[in-house]
Amino acid sequence: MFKRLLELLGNHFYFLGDLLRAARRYRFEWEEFLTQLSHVGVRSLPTTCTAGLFTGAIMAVQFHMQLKDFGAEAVLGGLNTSGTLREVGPVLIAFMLAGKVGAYTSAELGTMRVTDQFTAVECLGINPLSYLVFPRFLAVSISSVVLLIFGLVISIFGGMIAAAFVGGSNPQQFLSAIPRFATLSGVLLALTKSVIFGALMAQICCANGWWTTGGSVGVGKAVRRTATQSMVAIVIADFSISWIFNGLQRYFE
Amino acid sequence: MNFEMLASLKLLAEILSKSVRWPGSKSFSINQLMDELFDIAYQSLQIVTICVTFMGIIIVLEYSFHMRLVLNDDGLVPGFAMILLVRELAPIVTALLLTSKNGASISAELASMKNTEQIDAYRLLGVDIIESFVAPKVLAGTLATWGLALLSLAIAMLGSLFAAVTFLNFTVGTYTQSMTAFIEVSDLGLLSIKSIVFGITFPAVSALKGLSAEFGAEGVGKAATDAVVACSIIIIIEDFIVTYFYSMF
Repeated sequence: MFKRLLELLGNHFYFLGDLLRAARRYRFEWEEFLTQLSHVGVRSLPTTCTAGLFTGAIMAVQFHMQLKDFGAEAVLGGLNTSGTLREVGPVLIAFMLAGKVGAYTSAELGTMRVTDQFTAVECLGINPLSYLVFPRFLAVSISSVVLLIFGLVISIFGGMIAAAFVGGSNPQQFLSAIPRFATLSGVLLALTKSVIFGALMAQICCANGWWTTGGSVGVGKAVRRTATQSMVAIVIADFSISWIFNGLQRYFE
Repeated sequence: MNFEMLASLKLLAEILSKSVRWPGSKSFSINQLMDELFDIAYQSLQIVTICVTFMGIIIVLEYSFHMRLVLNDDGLVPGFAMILLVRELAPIVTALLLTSKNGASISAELASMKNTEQIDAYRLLGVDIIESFVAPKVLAGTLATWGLALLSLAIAMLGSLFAAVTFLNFTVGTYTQSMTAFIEVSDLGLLSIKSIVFGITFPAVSALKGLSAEFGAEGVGKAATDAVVACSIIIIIEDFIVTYFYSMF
């Protein structure tokens, strides 16, 4: 089990090395990159916005239930925004994106692999890693970061609407409590998490798509592996980032 | 568009009603249910437990940061963090993980059966597709989500106890005292309601997407990714509705 994990990690690093080397040696495919950006980025916007809206709303209802007992509804806006930005928002939205963007890209690359399109491209004297994979890698990582930030901003509005619904606080109260809690460090933490989750998802979906073997059943397996690996990677990365940030914060205080 | 939506609503209603009646019908077989449970629950045991435990640890760390900001004291952290874990994160993280792991494969399986005309062949033989292929998955998905949510919650409690003792100067005694002061039996009820609702949703919606897939290999892939997206969104919306109604009592 442990040996298999190390092998997997090693393979991921080898793939990343090959990919970056190929990308540096050959010219960058702007056209493919922009197409992929529109495919994975723009089309996932409605999904991400819905996810963000409801994540914020759920957290607001939960926090309201807990704060009600202490009569501390005035801080609902701040606590909700800070809690969603720092922790629950990035993870839940990243789970959603791993299901949508990651699965789509690894299924596409896997289909290319099992229909021998990579070999065909190689026969034409073009490096498939720099021509097909690297634009997707970059598109997935950039659009994941942008989508995560979009979802997080929208989650604030979701929380505000839900807070007005359950009677926790009106929108002015909600918004005015935000700056006390959602400080620069919270926003920085959310941004760090977004960037790292985006890079992890791009790496995992491209690598698993590239490694696909064995026909259309193999494509299904690759998609499933992508989902599993990205979720475990996201949760572990989340823990490590939070832990390191907490340590840094205590050090500077 | 409207006609298609109505048709898929009818199919969804058929799936739900046949799944509810399946344990009493003559096509019920305990072996098939066990097979599906092995596929859905046992194969996902590790990943669900790891993810929920890490979520529990992170929640404890983050909550202690917030509590020190508001109250200058983190004595209440275990209670608050565990309430959030029981009411919210254990069911939804379990359901989202099972959705991306199994929802996609349920949908792809049914879509490729449809593509290779196996579904038409079964229909010709007089086999009810929904009763014999979909209903066991729905029942197994429901049981799996409920069981995994409870099991992973138990392990996550131990994990966050470990984290609180290691990183936050709690002792086992103060931690359990603060935890038991807040959690009530009704919280476990909310967890059960949520995980059962989510557990019915993801196999039913994935099966619906699989059965209404378009033809060709592309249709199979599209059905699988569509199923994951639709299930995740529906689960989050249901979560909000259930939480909202619970907060009114």
